[in-house]
Amino acid sequence: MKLEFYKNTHLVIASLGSLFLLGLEFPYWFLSMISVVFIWRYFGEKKVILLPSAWITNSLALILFVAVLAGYKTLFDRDSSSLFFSCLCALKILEYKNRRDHLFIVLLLMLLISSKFLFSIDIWILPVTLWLIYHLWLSLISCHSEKSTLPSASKIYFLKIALLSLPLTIALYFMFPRLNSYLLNSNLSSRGSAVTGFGNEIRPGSISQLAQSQELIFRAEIIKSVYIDRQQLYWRGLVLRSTDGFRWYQGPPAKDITLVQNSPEFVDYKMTVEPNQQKWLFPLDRPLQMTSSLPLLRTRDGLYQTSVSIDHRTSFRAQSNLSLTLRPEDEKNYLKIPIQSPRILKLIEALKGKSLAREKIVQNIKNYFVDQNFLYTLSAGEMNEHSLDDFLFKAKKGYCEHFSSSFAILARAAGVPARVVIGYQGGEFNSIGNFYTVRAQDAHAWNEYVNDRGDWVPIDLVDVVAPVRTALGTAEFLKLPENLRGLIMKRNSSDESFLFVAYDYLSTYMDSLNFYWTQWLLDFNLDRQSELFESLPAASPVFLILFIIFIFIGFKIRFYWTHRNNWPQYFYKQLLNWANKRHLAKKPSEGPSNFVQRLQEKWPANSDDFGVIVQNYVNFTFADIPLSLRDLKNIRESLRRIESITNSDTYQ
Amino acid sequence: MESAWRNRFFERSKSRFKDLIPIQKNNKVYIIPTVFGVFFSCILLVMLYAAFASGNNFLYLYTFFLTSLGVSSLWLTHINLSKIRIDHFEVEEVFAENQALALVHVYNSSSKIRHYIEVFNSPQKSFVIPEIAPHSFYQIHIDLGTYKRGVHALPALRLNTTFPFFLLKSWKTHRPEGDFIVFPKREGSSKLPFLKIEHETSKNQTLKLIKNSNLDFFGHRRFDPSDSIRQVDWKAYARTNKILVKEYQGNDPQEIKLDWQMTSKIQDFESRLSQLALWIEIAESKGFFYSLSLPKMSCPISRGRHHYLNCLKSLALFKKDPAIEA
Repeated sequence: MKLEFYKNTHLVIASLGSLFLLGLEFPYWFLSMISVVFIWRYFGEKKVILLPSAWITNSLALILFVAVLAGYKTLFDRDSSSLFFSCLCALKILEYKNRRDHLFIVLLLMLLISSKFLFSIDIWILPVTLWLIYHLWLSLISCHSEKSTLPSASKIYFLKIALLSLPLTIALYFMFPRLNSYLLNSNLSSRGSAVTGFGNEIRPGSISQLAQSQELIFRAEIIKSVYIDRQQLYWRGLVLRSTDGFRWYQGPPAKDITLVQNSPEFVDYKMTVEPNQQKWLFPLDRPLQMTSSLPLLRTRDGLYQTSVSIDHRTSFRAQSNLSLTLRPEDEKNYLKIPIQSPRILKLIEALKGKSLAREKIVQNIKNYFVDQNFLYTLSAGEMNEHSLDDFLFKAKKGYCEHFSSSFAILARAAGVPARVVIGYQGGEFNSIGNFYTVRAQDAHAWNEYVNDRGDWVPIDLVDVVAPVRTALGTAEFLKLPENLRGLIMKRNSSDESFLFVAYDYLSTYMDSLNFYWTQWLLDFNLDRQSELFESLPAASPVFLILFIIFIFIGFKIRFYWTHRNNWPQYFYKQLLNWANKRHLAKKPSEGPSNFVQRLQEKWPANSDDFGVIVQNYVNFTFADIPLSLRDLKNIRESLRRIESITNSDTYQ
Repeated sequence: MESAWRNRFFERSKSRFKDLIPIQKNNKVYIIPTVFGVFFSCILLVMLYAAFASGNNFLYLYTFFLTSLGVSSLWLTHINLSKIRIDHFEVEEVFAENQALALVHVYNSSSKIRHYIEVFNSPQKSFVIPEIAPHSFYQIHIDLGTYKRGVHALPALRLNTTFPFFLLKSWKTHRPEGDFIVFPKREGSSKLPFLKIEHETSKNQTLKLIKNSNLDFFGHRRFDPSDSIRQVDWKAYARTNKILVKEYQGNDPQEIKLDWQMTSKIQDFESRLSQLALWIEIAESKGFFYSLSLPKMSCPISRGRHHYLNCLKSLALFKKDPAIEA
């Protein structure tokens, strides 16, 4: 049976859709190759150009194999294997001749669609996948015919099958035992994807680079909390203790002591972190505990990190207490600074004054930044090794890393232990889904200093020089003209067009839908499954009995409904079946009466019973005499008596 | 009381069991995965591994949905065939070493339309029924292959379906009761034994004979290579575009007495029967009266379809007897 590719519209849609869906994840040449293949195939079938022979496609496959292997150095991770299989599928489309090719392509496409989920589990993939499955499986039905036509009502037929398959899908989904997959140490997630977010250190300009990226870092759904303002949302990542004057880094480990307090400012939330190939987590300052399906580590200074880098979307549950008290074990670790220029030393002396109170010194530093009209901006200009001097006395403008870095150095020089904390600040609140979306542009650096009681106190100089920044978020803040950035003002929403508002609303809505979907997918792990099974036994006996009763009643109703208008025919058919089993089937030449006569002769004792069934059947079918309830009862009893004729009676 | 009840229970179940087996035998539907189905399961396993290894619930969902579609197709492929049966199976008139064609009625006793059912005796010569409406039958001709002369049991027919997704193949076997007769092949000299002249002349003779006699036009029949080209009714050809030959019926048609001994010059037993079969064919097609006498068997002189079939049947059933040979 010779088949033509473009005659089977469903296969064309399914293959084009799947390859383009996956092509979004691959290098650009792949999409061009797919386009060439589909155009070549089209004109090949129109006999305008020749389709490649088997040896050309085989050699192309070999070339692609070598190219992919050379590019990715392996064929066993997500990117390289799915790229290679996509190329194979495209080449197979060029070769498409018969049903075997069709089935092979369908198998490859099923595999390729599945590999898309390793790249993304966003909700928009769901309708696209369903649409592709629909066409893929319809192509199988149409492949039965040489002309690739679908039998009548096939689309409804397939939708019915899909509906029929849903209960089993759901049952399997919830019942299939989940295991902690990190044990496998698989290659399914690629090592090649870009590292996002922070490194382990900051230098001037490193955060302002991040601020220009819209990339999603994580979403956090607040489950239980006191009222928190966006200005209070500091997502704590790394603590940087050491500096060489130019860059800040973690340095040797140091310990913080946590003083547990019974504070009402307790926040319970869930974080869904995007794959970023890093181990650091960003819980809300200050974290109490975090749990996840991945094994987690808590460092000595109260930070969290995973034992493996996050290479797929992962969800974490965390609790934070905003007013938790931390205390350094040894303050000396936070006082080291490189030798500073005389000008800085002079400034420090001035800031220190005569006071020895740490709060007073910090207040002086804050005042200095406000008085000198420091500007918070993304374009801080080039900074060199003497960046602190430049920043403090010349440029007087910079991004959060400049402010936090200079604060820590000034404070340390004045004898106040201080450090730099990097993480994210704020996030975009989704009012429909009640969650915050934190993007790379929300990256932030702030400080902590030790007060006179010996506790760590967070301080954000940006909040001092540009209070609008923390109130509005980076994206909105940077839209403001530079001269207004120092003032507190509200965004004026009246000049926004309807289209903008609608788009804003829709994107918020879609984002929250996507968030819940991914949450739902990510949340169902081994623990949740165990919880589900533990909750089952209590409900199961009642549920099972109800289910059985429901099924039983359903079948009964269906039975009575089917036969409501043809009881005599139903009983006659039962009689025919009964006779069949006793090798006395009605012969084609016999009418109902002759047939029954034969039975009556064999079992004279039940003669009347046979008569009742046939008489009613004949009356109902040929004379249109309706059946009364009494007759119905009679027939039923007759049939029951006939059915109780045992085998021993048969051979009398 | 209890034991009586128990006896009755076992008696009934036993008898039911005994009764059910022969009825179900012909109608049993078997189902196995196709090669595609096996590969499909392998791919499901691969996806399951990937879902497990990456802890990807979306992938689990997708894999389980495909699995469920596969499981549903198990049932669908089964019911596509379960209520299909062969109602009528008859082998048409067939000569040895010719293709035996069977007329088959495939009946759909279900209330749903059924699709793509393959009927065959040998897989190379299958016939695919695209769809059968509910409670109706589909008439097909199945090529059964070639047979030797004699009586043969009706072959088993296989009903196959891979509908809807090619994942599984379900089949049932129809084992009909009864047999069919294969006539000897028609072969040898087409010269009828009653005329001593050459073949071509014999035809002219026949024509002349027809023209001179007061035979009445009886009807047309298809042209046979053994007919003279002059017998063709060209006017009828112009009308119908079919090559037809006139047939006559009259008072003095030819009579031929075919006898086993007439073929004594031929050594081979089957060839002798083939020669007689050919003569019967020619005699019948020309509307002659003919009789056939075989050792221990004879057909009195007559003509017509019934007589023709009787003669051929005698030849088909004729067995080699050493005594006769001698």
